[in-house]
Amino acid sequence: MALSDKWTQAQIRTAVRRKLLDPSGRWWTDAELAQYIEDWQVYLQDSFELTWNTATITTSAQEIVVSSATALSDMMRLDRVYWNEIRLSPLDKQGLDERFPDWRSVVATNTSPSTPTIVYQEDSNRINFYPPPNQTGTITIEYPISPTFVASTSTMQIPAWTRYSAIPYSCYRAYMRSGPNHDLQRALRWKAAFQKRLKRIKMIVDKHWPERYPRIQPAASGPSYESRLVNPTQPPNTNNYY
Amino acid sequence: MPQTILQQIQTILDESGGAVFWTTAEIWDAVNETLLEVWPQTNHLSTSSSWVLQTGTQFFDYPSNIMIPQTLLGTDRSHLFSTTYAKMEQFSPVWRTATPGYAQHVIHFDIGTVRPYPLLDGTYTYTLHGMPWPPELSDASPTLTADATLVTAVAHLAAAKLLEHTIPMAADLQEREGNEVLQRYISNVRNQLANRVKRLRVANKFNVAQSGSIPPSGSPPAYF
Repeated sequence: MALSDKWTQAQIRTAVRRKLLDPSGRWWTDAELAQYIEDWQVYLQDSFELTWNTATITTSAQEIVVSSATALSDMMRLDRVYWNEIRLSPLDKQGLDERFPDWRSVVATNTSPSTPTIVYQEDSNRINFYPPPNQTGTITIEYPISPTFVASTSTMQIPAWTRYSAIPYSCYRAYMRSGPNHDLQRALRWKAAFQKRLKRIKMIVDKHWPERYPRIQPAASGPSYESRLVNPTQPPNTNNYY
Repeated sequence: MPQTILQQIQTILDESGGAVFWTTAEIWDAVNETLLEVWPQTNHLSTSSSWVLQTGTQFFDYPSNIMIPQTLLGTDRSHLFSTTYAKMEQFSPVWRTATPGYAQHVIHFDIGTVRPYPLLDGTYTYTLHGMPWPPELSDASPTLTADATLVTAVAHLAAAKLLEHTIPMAADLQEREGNEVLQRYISNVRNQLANRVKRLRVANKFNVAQSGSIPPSGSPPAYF
């Protein structure tokens, strides 16, 4: 076992039980803790979009119904959409109304080939294209996944370095609910501890691929910056770099 | 002889005679969690790994020995920069249709995966530098090989996590102490040779951030 190993739901539950001083499940059932651990993973994924997936659908339809598309079964929310590898501009219906007041009357015809350039959503369960296609295209959709533990032996779907934050989250939920161990003060302490973990997770996310290299930036208003941009052969002032 | 990290923590918990209220499994959980938090803050270790990227695949996971990827070198050891989807689309709306070749950039797909640009036309071995995973400590592997100041910081921070449940005020104090010692260690790392050289510069001049890379017209270049 290494710190780079992702934990299974059962391993997380064991660690949580150690903190709750309930190793044999006397006060909190496995099913209850499993729900908290599930919620923890969704919470982190929703906050940081740590894990993404991609789906490919071939269609000539103007609309894809998310709940009917098997390829999108693990989608948390829609993000980038490509038609034949070209990015479609995302717009909402109000944006379409402003730009193309007659957009509802545009229909796919066989006489004038039309390739969608815009993606919009009729509602949260539908993905629509404008103008409507009259040919088959390959749609690539990239999205943050909606993570889940299918079984207690399933491993977490977010990075291994988040695994210990499941403990304060689950403890806070466990103490918050009514019952013989209901303890709001303790629940709030654990919630504060979880919020500290969130800050550290953000710090680790930010440390990925640091962009700390010096780059051209204007010193003051004046023609120098523009002249440097239009005359790239001019050697840089190396004294300003380290 | 200094105490091991387990002994340090058990002393803080007043359990120097051995585990009573906190099992060693619980203590190792706290230590390992602390290590995962402290390593990225100190940034004191670096490692590298050969990274084979090949044709026919869009997405590549980072090598398993790297926790936080930081620098990518090409086959000729030149630095290749990472980028984002948004920047790629500003650069070229048709970037995904680029002819396969030798990848010049990698694009962040998610926290553990990148997509090369352009996609590859063969197999190339890149080198990825980054921060390594901290070691996982346990009864079977109880030694933290690190600077004594860092070990003490980890001990205080881990103790804070253990006390959180029962004595929250003591936990706060331990956390404050741990962070103080950690800052001292970070200062030690920062003050090592490489950074001192950087301080050899003329005083009372603007630095890059203040002056910009390009001097205003008519004025001498901004040295530092």
